[in-house]
Amino acid sequence: MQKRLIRKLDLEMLLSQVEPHPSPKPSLEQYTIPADVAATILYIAAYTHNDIVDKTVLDLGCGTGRLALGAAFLGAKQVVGVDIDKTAIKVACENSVKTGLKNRVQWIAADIDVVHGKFDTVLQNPPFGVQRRKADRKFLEKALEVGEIIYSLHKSSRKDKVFIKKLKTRGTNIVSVSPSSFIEKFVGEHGGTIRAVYAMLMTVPHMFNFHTKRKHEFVVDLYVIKGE
Amino acid sequence: MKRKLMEILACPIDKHHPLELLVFEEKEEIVEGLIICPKCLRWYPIRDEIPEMLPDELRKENEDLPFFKKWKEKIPDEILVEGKPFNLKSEMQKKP
Repeated sequence: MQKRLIRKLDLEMLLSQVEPHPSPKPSLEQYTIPADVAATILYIAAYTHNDIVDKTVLDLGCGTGRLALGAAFLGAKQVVGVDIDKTAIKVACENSVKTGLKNRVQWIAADIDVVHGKFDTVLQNPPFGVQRRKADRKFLEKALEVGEIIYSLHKSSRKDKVFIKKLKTRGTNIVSVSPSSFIEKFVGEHGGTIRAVYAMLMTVPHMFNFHTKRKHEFVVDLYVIKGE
Repeated sequence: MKRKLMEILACPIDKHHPLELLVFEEKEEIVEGLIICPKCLRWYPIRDEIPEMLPDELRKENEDLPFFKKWKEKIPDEILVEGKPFNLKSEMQKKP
């Protein structure tokens, strides 16, 4: 079991080996989290809040497995990745062989309802509900049911250039922000408490026809939530 | 899939837990097998070490039924006849 602190650069290098989805579907909002953003999320979870090393970790909507594999690499006790897309899960499984982490991660091709029981930590980058309204609510509900601590990525409503510039110029690329009133209310109604919210910039390449720019840049908020 | 994974699996349709496991081929992990919900009688294949527990509308009969038939000697009659979402009821009734 790896207990030592892993350098962020090593984590990013591992994550960059993770292959993306060969044929992403817009309806599932399938894109791969950029390696640097995934590394930042995992680093916050592992070393700011101590929620990865020796913990049981569940990645809901894991796609091709970037967060799950990163958690295994940092020393999670056991990692489970769930995704409804069979192709994504097959690629995730290949990625776990490629990165030498196969023995540490279990993959399930299923709807997130398949998960029963409790995990120390849930990591999730749910569909933002841009293509399918309210798609992220189901993920939050499930995460609050099965997770002690939840790391959930949501699209921010912040679009102002000044804020984006701030995210680009700061050395750490993350800024603590206040939660959206909707998510705060939703989490509260489901027995959870928001511990922290970190804004970061996400840049994803043009993938779908409705993306008119070559690169799509937007602000995402990482919510750290204490479950029921 | 490791056997221990059964501890955290519920039927995605009716949420029943625990589920039943049939192992057909096992190396370091289960390579091929079947997960059965004893409540709704749904069966889910384990193929290439991956449990596939998809909702009915995402399942493909032309992929799942050949797998089911391949292992029918090891599957209880109740599931062969009444199993969901696909079964061998019509086929089995043709037998003399």
